[in-house]
Amino acid sequence: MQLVAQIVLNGVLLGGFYACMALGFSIVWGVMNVVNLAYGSMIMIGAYVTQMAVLQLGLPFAAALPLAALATFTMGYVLQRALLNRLAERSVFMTLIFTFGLNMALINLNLILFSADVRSLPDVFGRASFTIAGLSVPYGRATIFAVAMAMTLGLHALLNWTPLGNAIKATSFDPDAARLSGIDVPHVYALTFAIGGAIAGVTGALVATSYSFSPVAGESYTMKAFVVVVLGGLGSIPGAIIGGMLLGIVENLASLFLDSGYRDAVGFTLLLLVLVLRPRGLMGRRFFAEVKG
Amino acid sequence: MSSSSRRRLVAGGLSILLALSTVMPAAAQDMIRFGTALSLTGNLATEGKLVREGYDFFVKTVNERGGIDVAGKKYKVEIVYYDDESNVNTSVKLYEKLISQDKVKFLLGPYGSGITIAVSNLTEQHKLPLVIAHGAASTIYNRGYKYIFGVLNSIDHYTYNMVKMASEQKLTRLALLNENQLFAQLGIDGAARQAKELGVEVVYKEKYSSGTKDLSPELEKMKAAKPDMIIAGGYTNDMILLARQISQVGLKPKLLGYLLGPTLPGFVKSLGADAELTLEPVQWSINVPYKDQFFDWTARGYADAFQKVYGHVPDYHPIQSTAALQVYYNAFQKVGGFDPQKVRDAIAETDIVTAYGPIRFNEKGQNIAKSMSVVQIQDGKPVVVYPADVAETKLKLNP
Amino acid sequence: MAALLARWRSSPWAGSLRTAALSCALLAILVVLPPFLSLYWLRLLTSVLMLAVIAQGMNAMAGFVGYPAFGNVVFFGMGAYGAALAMTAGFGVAPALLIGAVPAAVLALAVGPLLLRLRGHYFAIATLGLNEVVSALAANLSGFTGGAAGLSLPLGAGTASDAAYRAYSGFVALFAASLALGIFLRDSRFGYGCRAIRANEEAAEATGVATLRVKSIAWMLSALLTAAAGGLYARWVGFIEPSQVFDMSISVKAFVMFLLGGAGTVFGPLIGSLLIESATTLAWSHLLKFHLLILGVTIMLVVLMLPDGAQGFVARHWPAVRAWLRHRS
Repeated sequence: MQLVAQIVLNGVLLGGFYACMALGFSIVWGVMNVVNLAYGSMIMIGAYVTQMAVLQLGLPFAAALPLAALATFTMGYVLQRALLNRLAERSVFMTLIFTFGLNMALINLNLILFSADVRSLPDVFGRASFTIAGLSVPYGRATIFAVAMAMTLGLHALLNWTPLGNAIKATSFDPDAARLSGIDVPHVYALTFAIGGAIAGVTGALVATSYSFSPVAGESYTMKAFVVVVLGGLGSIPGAIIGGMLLGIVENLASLFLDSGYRDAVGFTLLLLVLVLRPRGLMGRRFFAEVKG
Repeated sequence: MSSSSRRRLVAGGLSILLALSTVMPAAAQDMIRFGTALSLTGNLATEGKLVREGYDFFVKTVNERGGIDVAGKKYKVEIVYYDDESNVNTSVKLYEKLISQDKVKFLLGPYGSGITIAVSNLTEQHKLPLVIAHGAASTIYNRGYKYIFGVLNSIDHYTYNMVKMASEQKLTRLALLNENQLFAQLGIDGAARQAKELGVEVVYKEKYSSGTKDLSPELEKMKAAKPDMIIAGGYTNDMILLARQISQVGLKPKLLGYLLGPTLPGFVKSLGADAELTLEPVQWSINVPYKDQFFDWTARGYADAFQKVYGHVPDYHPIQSTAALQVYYNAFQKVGGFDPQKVRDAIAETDIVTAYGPIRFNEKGQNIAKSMSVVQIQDGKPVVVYPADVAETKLKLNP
Repeated sequence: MAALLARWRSSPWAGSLRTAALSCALLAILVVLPPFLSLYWLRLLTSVLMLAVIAQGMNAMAGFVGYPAFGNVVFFGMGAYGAALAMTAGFGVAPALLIGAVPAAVLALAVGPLLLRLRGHYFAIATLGLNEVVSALAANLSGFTGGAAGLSLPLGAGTASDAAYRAYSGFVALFAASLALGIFLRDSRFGYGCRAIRANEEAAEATGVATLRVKSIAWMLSALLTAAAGGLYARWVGFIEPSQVFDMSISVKAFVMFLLGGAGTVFGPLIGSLLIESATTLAWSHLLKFHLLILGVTIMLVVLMLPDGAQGFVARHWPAVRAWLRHRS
């Protein structure tokens, strides 16, 4: 029982990380109907920026993290403004393919700049853990969980309590009406992509300290983001949290009770079930997703 | 357009097609060309770079000495490289290109076991020798092929020494974990067999899916089994995660071995204390006592010369590449020419000593003359700790 | 006579026949080409044909019916494993292909009614999930599939060129089938149903198209084709492992190809696979370190500049080109 509780707790911690990671993917998809296949590569770029800031500029991790977010924020803004906005009227498949090409290009650029070596930042949070009710919580995973939750709340506040948030939601709901009411739609799109980028950057910083990264490692994060977003519901922040936690817990329980080789399969089976039984996801709201099909 | 000019046009078109299909870079008379496709941009590009450095180092060394001396004539050496992106279909395509387009007769294996199996299907049909420097899976060699030769020890040897160490250290409870992937699966399955032979109990054995983000369920289960030695196999990404989480869940095995990892660039740097005292079986180390019969290298001499050129100490990958070329080098001199069939026969009869180790092939094409050693990370540096005759220092157990 | 000709031209059969004639000409060229090609070019061409077949499978669903079957590679993998297992059990290539293809078609028919209620990205992700689940089964049922260690097929008899010609002719035959499928989906009554679904599913349903049945059958045809390609691939390469034949990048590539060539057209997949394969091949030989970058940028440029695929681009500019040519002569 102790073991199961520990594994579920680990699943929750992992789920927090999944949720945070998926947010950036979710908001871009929900608002602009862009499935950003280069999302994982943006996470990798965040990780590389963090590593450079820590190892070469000698910054503390807490300062490197916003720097990574800023880098991918800028990158996201420029990408959407300069390129993706041109595809806004096109079929969703075109943007999908575009980001596929972008992902290839980014992987190759990262390879040239950073080589294929697998990297990781040593021991930012230490190796120790603390104990709650007999269950051990590593500081590293707990910090990631805390950052992830803070990000999620921040994004929730941004979307619901700021003019920009209103503009984003209005644009997502109906771009033409938004345009008519004086919203600079291309700018809002670019900012949305930039926010998604910033979340990728923060995720990258977290990946750098607790996982490892290399130019090709981004794809597994894109896949996870996909699953979390679909489970939770497109464009929904509570959905991302629930989707992330659910995936984290289910994966871990699958590893515990089944052969661990089936871990991913169980996650995807869950995804299929949710899709068939409740296609808009557990928390999906109509206006973000289904209007655009 | 008159019919004759049309016919000329058609003939012209056809001859262009023909020319395209048989076009071949003008090879200088005194040049021997080898060919290989490596992972230069795929997920194995780090290893691919090390592999390439070893090939290039041989080329550079030989060419600086005027080339290979075959039947009284000096031949310069060249290697044609392609990037296989760690993709099987691409790799086979590129080997076909090497063979039928670039007319390369002497092929070097790719990096990775699955890719090697697919590529050897092609080279075997072409009846051209394939000297494999970096394909360890035993399944490559047990298909009865006549044209493949591997200079390295195959996968069974990777774990054998580590399991033996466990039994010698009186560690009786072994836990095994691997990524669900060809090389790691064969390696860990081998370890389980060897443990049985050597009387070590396997208290935990499982595989996990590639690219997983949390290994704590596996490790908690493993912890409950109270192992005193762990052997794990998988790609570097996962191994870094594993090393971190082993200390996070509070597993404290006396010994922790990886099939691959600790000696790769970045592993120690990323993990710091978590890399300390980990083990990795290596095909070669600077301490092996062999003196090269062709060049004036000892193992250390090779390492020094290599470092002067590439700026880093070689792990076993580069010298393994160099050794593969030395197998050809020896065969050319034995044959006194470049007929692929005769070269193949000469390779089968190989009996040489290189700085990498002795090389002699059994009928499956596996090198049976060499053994492996085990390194341990001590104070952030890999040092050889097993077997005793090549050990630099003593094995340390975790407290 | 002229009136008859005009009527003939406007009849729906004329288009089919023209395409069929073009297809036959193309196939005739493919049949006579091998003696002029080195084994490398033959292999490249075989590869182009294989990708064209997979892309046609994708086109059948995504292009004609408007359902992006992103995870279609699941059928490729199933076909490869089914055929490889059958061949190891001693079956010949043709029956083995069938043994590989039937389970794939059955799977499409079985899950089709469930998944085909989803639209757009949701359907795409569901198929992706399907692929992950099946591929995990292939990787874990090691007693049956060999698991991660993969499956190795015995070498076929004969020389390298015998093997190359065998693979080539197999894929030419499959390619012919893929063209036939394209023509069928474009011109048949069934195909009209597909296109009605793509244009507006509710309207199609209202006008009496049995949408779920049409979609499921189209997906089954797509699965058959893709699985047969997987089976031939297994025979061709002689070694398969789960990570290789259930590789999502095969699907993504196929997707890029049919879009590039022109979605919902008969020859689009071939054109797309020719373009992409030539681009990568050129990049490989000369720009070792940059080829992913170049390929990626090419794809981005194509999307930005050729929104309706290469065929659409030509079609759009063809009148201008023809006028210009006429003017010159």
